[in-house]
Amino acid sequence: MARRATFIRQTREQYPHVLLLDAGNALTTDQLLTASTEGAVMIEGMNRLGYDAMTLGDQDFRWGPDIIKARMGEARFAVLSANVYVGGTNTLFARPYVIKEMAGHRVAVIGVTSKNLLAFLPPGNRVPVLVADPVESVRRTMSDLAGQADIIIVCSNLGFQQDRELAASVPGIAAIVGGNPGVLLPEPFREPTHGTILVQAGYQGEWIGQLTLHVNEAGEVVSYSGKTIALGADFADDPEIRAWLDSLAKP
Amino acid sequence: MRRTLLRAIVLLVAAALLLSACGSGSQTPAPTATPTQSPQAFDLVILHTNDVRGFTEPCG
Repeated sequence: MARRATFIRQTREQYPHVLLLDAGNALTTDQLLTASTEGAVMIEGMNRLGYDAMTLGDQDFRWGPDIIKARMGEARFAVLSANVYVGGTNTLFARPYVIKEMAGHRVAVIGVTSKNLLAFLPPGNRVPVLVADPVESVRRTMSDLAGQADIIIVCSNLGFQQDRELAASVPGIAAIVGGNPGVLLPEPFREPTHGTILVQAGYQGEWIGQLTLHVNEAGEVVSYSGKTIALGADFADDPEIRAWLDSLAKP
Repeated sequence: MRRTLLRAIVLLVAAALLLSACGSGSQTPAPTATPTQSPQAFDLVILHTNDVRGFTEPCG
């Protein structure tokens, strides 16, 4: 996380319009520090790194919906899912999207969660949740966003194959930032049907992805470039994040 | 008569608002305002992670 912070800071110094997104399964873990805080350490770290949004991952729900709600309350960024509902209601469990204004364009980020979520709920879970069809949920959310957004990004926990199906089924998505179970795509993949760009950046915080969309005045993506960066030892630790992590490690 | 009509209008508006809230779900964000500046060509840089799984330190 300290190396990631360094890369994020360097990128923000270089570019004025940066979105920092997480495509889910940040909170599920067997890591002692995160497990002992029921994922709160990850949310605090993402707050410190200045994330703009994260999507709820299916495996994040191992904690159960009530703990996830508590983590959502601690986040200073948007926690998204357009297709998870409170069971027995038509109320979404999280907000479906967030809109950021950049260079006069309204950039909407829609979150969508894998239907596998139901398999990860803890035994005896008493808070029912429902997971709607992701493709239809994205389609409906984009309809809701008509006239409110110029560029659509989907932050997806569906997995690469379903991301491809989503990209082929729904026109108008500029890019899908994906995850689950953690595919390492060295460079972006352009789904040919509608030209949607797909990215995914590995797992366990070992990598970070960078996708640059070159956007014209009309809000059209005219070209793109991207890469996945291994956060190896050549990235120095960010001193503030290092100090914070070290303070957590003290007994 | 006028008071009855006014009460009916208030009830209708309240019912419409309630139906609207039910249909959209309480998590639906409020509509965004018009952009504050005219659109310009720009580079949108998306930094992204996934499946971090609680790792605060490199595992390798």
